[in-house]
Amino acid sequence: MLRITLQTRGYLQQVFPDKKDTVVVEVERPEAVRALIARLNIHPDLVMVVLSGDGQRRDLDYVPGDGEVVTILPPISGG
Amino acid sequence: MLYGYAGKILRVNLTTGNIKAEPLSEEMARDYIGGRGFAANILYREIPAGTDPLSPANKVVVAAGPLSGLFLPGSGKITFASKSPATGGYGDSNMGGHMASELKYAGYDAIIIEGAAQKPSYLYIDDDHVEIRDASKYWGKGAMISERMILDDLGEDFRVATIGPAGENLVKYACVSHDFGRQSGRTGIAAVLGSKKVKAIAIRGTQTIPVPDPEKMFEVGGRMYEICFAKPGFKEWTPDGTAGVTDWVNQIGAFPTKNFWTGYFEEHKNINGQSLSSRIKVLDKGCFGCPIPCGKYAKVDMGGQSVNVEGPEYETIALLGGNLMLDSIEKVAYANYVCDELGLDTISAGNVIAFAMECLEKGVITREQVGQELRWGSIDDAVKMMHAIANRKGIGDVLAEGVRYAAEKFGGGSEKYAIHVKGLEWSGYEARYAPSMMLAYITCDLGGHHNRAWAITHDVATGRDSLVGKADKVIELQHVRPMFDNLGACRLQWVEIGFELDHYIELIETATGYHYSWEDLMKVSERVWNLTRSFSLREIGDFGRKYDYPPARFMEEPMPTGPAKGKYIPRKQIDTLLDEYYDKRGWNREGKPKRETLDSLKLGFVADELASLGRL
Repeated sequence: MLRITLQTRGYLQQVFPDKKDTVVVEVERPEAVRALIARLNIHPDLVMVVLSGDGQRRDLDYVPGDGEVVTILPPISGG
Repeated sequence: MLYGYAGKILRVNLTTGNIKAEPLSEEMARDYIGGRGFAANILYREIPAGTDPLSPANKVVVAAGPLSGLFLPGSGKITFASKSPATGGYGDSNMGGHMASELKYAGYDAIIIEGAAQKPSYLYIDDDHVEIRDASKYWGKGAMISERMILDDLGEDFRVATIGPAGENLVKYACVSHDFGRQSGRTGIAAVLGSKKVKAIAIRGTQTIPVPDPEKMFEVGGRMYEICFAKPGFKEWTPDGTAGVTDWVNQIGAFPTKNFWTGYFEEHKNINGQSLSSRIKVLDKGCFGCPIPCGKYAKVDMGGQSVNVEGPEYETIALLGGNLMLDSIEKVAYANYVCDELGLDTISAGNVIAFAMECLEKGVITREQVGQELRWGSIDDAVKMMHAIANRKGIGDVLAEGVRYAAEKFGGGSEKYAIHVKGLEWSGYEARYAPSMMLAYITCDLGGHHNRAWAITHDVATGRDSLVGKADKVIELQHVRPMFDNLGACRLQWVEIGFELDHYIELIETATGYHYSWEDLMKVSERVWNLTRSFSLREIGDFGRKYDYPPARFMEEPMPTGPAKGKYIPRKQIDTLLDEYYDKRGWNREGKPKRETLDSLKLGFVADELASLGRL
């Protein structure tokens, strides 16, 4: 079993389980972030930025490893 | 003592030369909080019904809030407000930088500017020493150049807001400029200042803002900064600023392109946040008290010049980039610089020029009428037209009035291409596939503006084809987001990095000693929303539902390309959205607040006046 921590802020937090800023997702085999958020019923268009555990910018096709903390950020709301 | 407030409102009458400081009443502070709330109250009560926006009887209110100037995240926002020359209704626009804090330190929560000067003037405010000074040497100069000149003359410890040639020439979408690139951009407040011959406002303040317990203020404020710094992905916000959202908006098919012909711009990667930060950005630039500086100071070589510009931020990228089809961040930044110096709102300027381009393309107007080339994607043509507008030369004199007026003038069915609501040009989100965002735009009290209710993520989350529940969300946002303009604080801490709303309850109490719940604050927001709606009802004879529709393009033309291809919102669905919205607001189906709604918000005096005019 792999344990991936997803953390967020702002609008995305409103659609996270219990509106918390962090959720741990357990999966049997590696999955892309796109699939992980689908498990949470989060629309992929709500994610603007994906940061892997080492702080690098990734995209929704990034596949995190066991124990990794992935940050997903919502779109910026204009200017 | 009113903690958190300076406690005085400065009134300057340019006609008589009278200057006086009036006490801020506790009732005003509690019922309207500050900033936009103060402005709405003052303008409604003091401007005679039917006033010409560019006449001496109109007034400009410049107002900070109870959080402005204090040690807490994002306490640098100020509101400029007036009867709008662009719409004829209520107008305001908030601005960052350092004017809000300086105004409070000078001892004032707000300035009321009334009457009109005989010659170019500027307001000189040095604590209690206030003068109306001669501005002849600055008149005709660019907005940023004149800011530089005034700082050279007065000293770097002043904070200065200016207008450019567009404001002097009464362009209906002229903006107020400050801090070399911050603007009070929307609704044409600079044209009102121009009509009063006010070139600038210069402020220096050396006083303190009273709070109940200064040590606690530092403790709480410091803790709030730490909360901001600890937010997930905090550092990711800074590099690109608001420009960082460009690709996302394009990805969902909402990026204004070719006068809102479509919502997808093929060249978006050449004008996005990454191109800004990697190619032209020099440094990040923040406002007073800001932990997340969204300003991007950039340098670009173009047009035989090497220019510095703050930006472009997202709205400018959308309206000067995609909407004019300028295909590089360098071109957008240069166009941004030209608008900033001329004192033109980039959102409206991008709309107006794109409208003219489409009219020319479709044969509504001729090359001879335009008097120059006006081609999609041409920076030279766009810049030339910006100068024509700001100086009201040739067709620029028509375009200086905005797209609504220009469409009436041009005829030929061109109103379909005039992308505005209530006379204010539409900002950076194409909403044919975003019903909440559409409702937010058409019901915005200013006109076609996004910042009262940025609801597009709600559309994505709840279904972009569904109309269900959209009105509730839009109303909620129309109450939460403008509250920041009352508080004199920046909403980006909340909306961008997730700084929780509940923290503001503690901040307000620490600053003012007064406890509000968010329910209390929402009631204030609802009061102000109904007041600004009533202001427009009073000022515009036939105001109401018919002013709440989007341009025909969004109701009749399916999106031709991109992820939203085929989408539009027919008029029948717009009616459904409006009906639900009016019902939930306690307005009748003509979009007019009911008496009981106004009475419940302590706006009985408004109901009485509207009833006497037959407009309730």
